[in-house]
Amino acid sequence: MSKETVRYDDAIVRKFVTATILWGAVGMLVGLWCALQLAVPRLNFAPYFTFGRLRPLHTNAVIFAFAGNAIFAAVYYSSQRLLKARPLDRLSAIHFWGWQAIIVAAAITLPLGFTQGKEYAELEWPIDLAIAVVWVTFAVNFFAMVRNRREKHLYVALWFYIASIVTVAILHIFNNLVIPAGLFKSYSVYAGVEDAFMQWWYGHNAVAFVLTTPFLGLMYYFLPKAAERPVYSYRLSILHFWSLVFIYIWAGPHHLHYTALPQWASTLGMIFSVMLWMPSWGGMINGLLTLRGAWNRVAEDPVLKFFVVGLTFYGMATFEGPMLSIKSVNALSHYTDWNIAHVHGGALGWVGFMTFGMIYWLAPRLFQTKLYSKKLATTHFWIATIGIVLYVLAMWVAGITQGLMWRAFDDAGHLQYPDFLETVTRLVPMYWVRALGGSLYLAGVLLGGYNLFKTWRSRPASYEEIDVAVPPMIRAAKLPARPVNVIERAAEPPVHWHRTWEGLPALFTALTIVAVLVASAFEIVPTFLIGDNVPRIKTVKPYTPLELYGRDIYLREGCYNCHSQMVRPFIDETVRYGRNGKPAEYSKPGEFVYDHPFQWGSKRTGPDLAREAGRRDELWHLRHFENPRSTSMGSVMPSYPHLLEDDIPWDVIQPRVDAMAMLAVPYDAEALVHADGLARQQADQVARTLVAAGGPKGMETKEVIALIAYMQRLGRDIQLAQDTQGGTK
Amino acid sequence: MIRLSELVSALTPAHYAELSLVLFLMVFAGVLARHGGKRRAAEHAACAQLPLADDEGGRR
Repeated sequence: MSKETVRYDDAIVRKFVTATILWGAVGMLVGLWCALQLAVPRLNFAPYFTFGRLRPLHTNAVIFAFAGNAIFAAVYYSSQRLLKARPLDRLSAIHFWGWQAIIVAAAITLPLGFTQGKEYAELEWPIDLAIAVVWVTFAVNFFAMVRNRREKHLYVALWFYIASIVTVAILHIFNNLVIPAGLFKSYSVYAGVEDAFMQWWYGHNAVAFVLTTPFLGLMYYFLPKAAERPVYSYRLSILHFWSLVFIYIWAGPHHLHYTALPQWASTLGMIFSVMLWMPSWGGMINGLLTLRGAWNRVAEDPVLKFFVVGLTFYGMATFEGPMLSIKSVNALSHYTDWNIAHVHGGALGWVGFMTFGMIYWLAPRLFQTKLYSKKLATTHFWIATIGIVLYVLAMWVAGITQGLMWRAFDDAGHLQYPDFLETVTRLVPMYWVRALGGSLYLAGVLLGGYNLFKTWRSRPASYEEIDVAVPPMIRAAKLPARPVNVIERAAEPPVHWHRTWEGLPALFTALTIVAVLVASAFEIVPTFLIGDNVPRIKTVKPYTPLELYGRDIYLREGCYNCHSQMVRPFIDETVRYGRNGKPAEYSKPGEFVYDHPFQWGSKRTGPDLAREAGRRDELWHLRHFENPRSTSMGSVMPSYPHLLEDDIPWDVIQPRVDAMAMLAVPYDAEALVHADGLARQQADQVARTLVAAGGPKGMETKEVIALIAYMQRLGRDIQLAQDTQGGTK
Repeated sequence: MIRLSELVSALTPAHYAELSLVLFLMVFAGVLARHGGKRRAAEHAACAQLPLADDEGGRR
């Protein structure tokens, strides 16, 4: 018997579990606050705590802080035992404290308005660099365990971890390529259609490789442990893995149906999304059947309860996702709360419940004592389940209601609900139900936190450290000499190709990367290189320096969280966003060639703004920003009084124009040397217009002027193109 | 010399979509062919036991 031993590092797992609960509570509390802000706009406290700034904080906290820390806890606990190797202590410490520092940096910078303006990728470039460094540290630490392993076979959970580690790195790097225009300001190197494509290639695969594959790894390890029986079908898990890795990466464009994205990419995204249904359900069924013979324990064991409902939500979310990706369904669901229902079914149900199941299973083992209260854990399960059901039902009703109201025409052929606001105020009761559901879920998290705290309090004075006897390291072990005798060779057990791969982690990782890169290249290369994907429009010009700064305010305030800039080619949209009885032009790819980053949005709590120029005058905008209720009764938009008080920092404008010029935005010579002067000139003009309309004096230096200038630019270039073609000018 | 964009544009997007589907089906068929039969049942059963055996039996 081997005399070698290994002592697992459970301290790092304890740290990540604690961080999971703490950040989960924070992220969900912010989410609840955001939900309440949509029902009670007074709960917006400008400038730092408005919906537009807090919603990114909520999504980042839940995805990268709650789910992120849970993933790390799962990876460190299970990988050590599956590989019989300890991670490198120093790297583990850098990983843990580095990740928490990033979360704190996000919690500070997002309310301050430092953002790249891309969903789930809001964090500015210095933090992005820190993420890359910490992620690489994690990867090195993980692969050090793989290298020092004492178990030849890499169990399926580890494949899911490997796929997550390498793919997240690829996604993070390529989507966050930016040109800095200051310490906390940058512009995406991609523009318009290409930026939208990259963003949703990233965005959807953040769902895939942060919120799905690591949790499948967690499921394949912790569910058999909790059920005390092996996974139902190991073969199915192999199929599940390769199918997901190969298919998921293609699905991103389904977030851009009927937008200016070329139709071929959108259709390809839809097809692969529908194909995803099968492997996803294969995984779900594999998980549920693992409980065969143990179903009687589900009634008594809160851990199994969480896992069963978590898997059920995985099944629901992976059925709903492909369904929503079908274009005709998406035409109704896109930009509505239906998407919010879908993502929360996955996040609260699948990610949340798998996390809590794991934590309740880990708690007695990590703290080396009994769980404080099984009854409290069961109560947590039930109130969280009721919370999710209320949340998801409310958002389904809200989403379908709003989608149907947008497209309703009366008998005379007019929009039945021409006032967009009417389609929002109708949803407020549902927003209250959502807030109730979210409160219940959060109460469950707090109860879980209390249960864990009490468990921790009853821990032993010092944790027992166990030396586990293990075989020699694989890399140190010499392979037995191959038999020379032909008969002996024939009697050798066959070395199966997949097992051989698994024994060669570098090759296995390389194949995973190839699967991800090939799939990405098949969509990305044509998107970027086929010229007629984005036909140019002559009248589309770069934003003026003042409009560019106004656009930056739009990003800073997170307006994209509620407003889209994309008129889809549907009659109800072209009519709704038209002017003077004439339908609007639907959005064209060529309109966005200078949009670094794109701002198409993913949700319409407010109306689309792609055709906003000239729809209302400057004074209306000023009053609206100061207090939306003064111009639009019942509006749920936050007030932005600070925009009328804060001065435009003229000195930042030139560096921002210069950064855009570096991205090949064709600014003229004057803009490249006197951008701030040009901005002041335009600001004076806008301010004079305001005064002429009876507005306040002295606004020419205020930020609101820049934002108004940007609003009055949105859609103007395509209008010019239309007028030119129509011979009106 | 032919440019990369010309090379890429020589195929229509529909070709890319079709090629991608063929690629996926090949991968799927390959994995299925290798793991679909009963030949590896014993190996799979042994692999499935790994989480259950990971920290037991060898403590001192």
